[in-house]
Amino acid sequence: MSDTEMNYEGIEQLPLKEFTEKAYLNYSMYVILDRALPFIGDGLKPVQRRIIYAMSELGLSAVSKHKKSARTVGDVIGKFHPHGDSACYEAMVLMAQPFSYRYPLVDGQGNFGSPDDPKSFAAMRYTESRLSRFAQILLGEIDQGTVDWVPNFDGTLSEPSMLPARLPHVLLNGTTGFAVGMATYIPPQNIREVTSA
Amino acid sequence: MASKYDAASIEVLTGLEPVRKRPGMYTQTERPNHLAQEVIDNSVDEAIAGHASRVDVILYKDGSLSVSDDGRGMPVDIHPEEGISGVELIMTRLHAGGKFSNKNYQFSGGLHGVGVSVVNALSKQLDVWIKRDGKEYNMSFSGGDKKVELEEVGTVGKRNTGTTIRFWPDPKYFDSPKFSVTRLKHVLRAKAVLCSGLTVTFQDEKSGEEIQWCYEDGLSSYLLDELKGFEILPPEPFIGSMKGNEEAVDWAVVWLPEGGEPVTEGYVNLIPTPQGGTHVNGLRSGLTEAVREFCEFRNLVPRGIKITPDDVWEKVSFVLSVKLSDPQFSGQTKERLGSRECAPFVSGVTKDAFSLWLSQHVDLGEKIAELAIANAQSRQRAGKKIERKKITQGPALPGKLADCTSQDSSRTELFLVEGDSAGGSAKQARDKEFQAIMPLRGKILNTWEVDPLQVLSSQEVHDISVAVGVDPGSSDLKGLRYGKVCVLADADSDGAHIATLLCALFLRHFKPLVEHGHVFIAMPPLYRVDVGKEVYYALDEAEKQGVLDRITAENKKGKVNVQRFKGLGEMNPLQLRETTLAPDTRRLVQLTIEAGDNTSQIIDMMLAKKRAADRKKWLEQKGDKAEVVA
Repeated sequence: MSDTEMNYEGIEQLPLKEFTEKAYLNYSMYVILDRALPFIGDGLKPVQRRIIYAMSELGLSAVSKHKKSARTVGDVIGKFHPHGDSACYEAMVLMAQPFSYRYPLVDGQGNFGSPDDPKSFAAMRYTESRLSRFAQILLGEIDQGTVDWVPNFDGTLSEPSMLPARLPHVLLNGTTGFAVGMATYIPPQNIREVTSA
Repeated sequence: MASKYDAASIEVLTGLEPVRKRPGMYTQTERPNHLAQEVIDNSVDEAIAGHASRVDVILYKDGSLSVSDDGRGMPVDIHPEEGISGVELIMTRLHAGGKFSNKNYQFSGGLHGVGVSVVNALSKQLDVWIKRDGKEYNMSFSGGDKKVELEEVGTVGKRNTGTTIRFWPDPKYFDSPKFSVTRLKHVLRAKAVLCSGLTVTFQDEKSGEEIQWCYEDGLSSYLLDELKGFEILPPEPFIGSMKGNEEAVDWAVVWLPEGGEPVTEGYVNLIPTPQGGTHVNGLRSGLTEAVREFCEFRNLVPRGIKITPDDVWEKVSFVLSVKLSDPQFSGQTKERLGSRECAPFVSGVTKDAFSLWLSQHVDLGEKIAELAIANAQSRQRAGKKIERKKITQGPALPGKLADCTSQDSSRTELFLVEGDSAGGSAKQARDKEFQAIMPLRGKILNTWEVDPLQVLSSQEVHDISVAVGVDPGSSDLKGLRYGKVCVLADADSDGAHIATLLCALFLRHFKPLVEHGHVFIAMPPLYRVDVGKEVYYALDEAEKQGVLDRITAENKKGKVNVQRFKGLGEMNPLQLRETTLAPDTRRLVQLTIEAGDNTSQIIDMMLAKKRAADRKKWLEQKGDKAEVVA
């Protein structure tokens, strides 16, 4: 706000173009860095990483019992992801749909939508979920000092800045995302071929 | 570009160089009056601190000006870190001064340590004489550089102390190198008035004029002098003063029922603030509250009339002097006070004092109240002529709009709020008389490339259009229902996006609104800082740091807790009112466009469908300038 002028009544003036440019720049950089594009190390967007980490914190491993999705979503948005619950739940549903993900990261119990209408999943108070066995390749080494930890939005907890993937997960499941000025599309690959490559 | 642009062409300006390169940033370049003011301010600061009792100003025939005071004298000993004398440090370094901490000056006009060094930089020659500790010293500068080293030139009595500065402004920096005598006199007189007991003399060699001012009872006699010949109410100005630990305020107020040229002068630490600021706003709301209360007690207000601050304020004349230990001005020329905490202090103090005064002087009080009521009535009559669209006429207003009760479109404000959760608290926080709230759900359509006829098919845009009362694409503002259309979005990245989309909507489809300055952005605070029971709000990172610094500097007890607001819904309605909605304390930014600037091109680059490649380039260039909020 360099060129603000003041007048009586305490109103500052600012050219519209400056304000919009700055606001849009902030938004764009946020979307690029922190929302739409996956991190190459683990192939996850922030919301997905937070869901997986929160589920592992809840003890929802592949061998435990399913828990209500609402609990997971509540934990994710309350602890790490200060955004809307429906968007967060949709991200989780996507990770549980075998037709959306080559190797689902979440094992769902209940109506998680069908291939002809992927959005027909049940509300989060009905469905239950836990991590799939596949998710272990992202989480296996998390407690062995492999990743950097960063404070969450209010600085009271910490979350991993990336997950220690043993395989290049970004290639396995693929991903799509649209940000400002750039977008991403990576097709999924077969796990055996990637492993042997 | 023909010349090579490499690292060698980056200049870092040192010493007084920046002032000489860009004098307009540090002073007013029309006349050297502001330089004089800087020097006088320094002398008067000595007087406020109680060390000086007189200031003598002489305007010489050769266009130079000298200012002397009988204060402590500038320090002449060698500075322990810089290795040069105190005087030289003050004169030749920017940001050197004794007023950063409150140790030597409790209240002072100077705060950047910039003033006198600027004078030095912009003068052909500057001489300084200092009397201190029984000795007299002299030093002289030319064009900002030292000419004569500091030397002892004589001895004086131990009690005889003070500083004299004489300077010749360099004409090449100013439109006119002459001092304006009338303005100079005005300033000097104001200083004498505000600092009661201080003797100020002025001597003009050219005209042989000599004047001396000394006001024992300060403000009120000054105000009466200025308003001679007009009928005033009350006959004795309403005066008062209050001193707190960190702040002090003095005021004199009268009304001019028959009209006349009002005097409305606000001072902060004896520095005039011609553009007002929070202290003037505080006085205004304080007086209004008191008059309202008085009218309510005595049932003076006719039905259907509401007294607004403007009604009380209309024919008022006042001199207001505020002293703050840590004032925040906008810019070095200090034309406007920005310290937020000043408004509640001044309004609280004046409200109590004026209420008391009104109850003691019932006759005069009733006259003042009548004046305000008459103003309110005439305003309402004028306002009625432009009848606003009511719910019964024309298209129904959107159901989500919480309309205001006032019909006077010069005063009303519409807030477009992001999200229902923030809309709810804004609804509780608003002043329902003149503030209307309309929550927007989610992000609106990107309307940049939408045909004006199609744009109304979006429900949100349709609602905005109906609420504002202007059709998209039309240049007819007659139907405008609000004087101000404010965008109130969260202070996060999505809020920034919504604000961008709204700006694009207004620019493309409601251009006359922007051109006539009806579009505003409300700035909600980003941080809330709690210390014990005290609460501060900070608009951005820099301000937060300032608040934290101040807290540590003042050794406040209690745990410091910083909370970052993610969304407007996180604030209590009361907090929201205090920070973003109440006219006295909020920060509102008017958006302006100028014909021929490249606003459209920039927004086109940002929002057009086909220009993703340009956006990528733009991000690569400017991405690092973004303040990313995670």
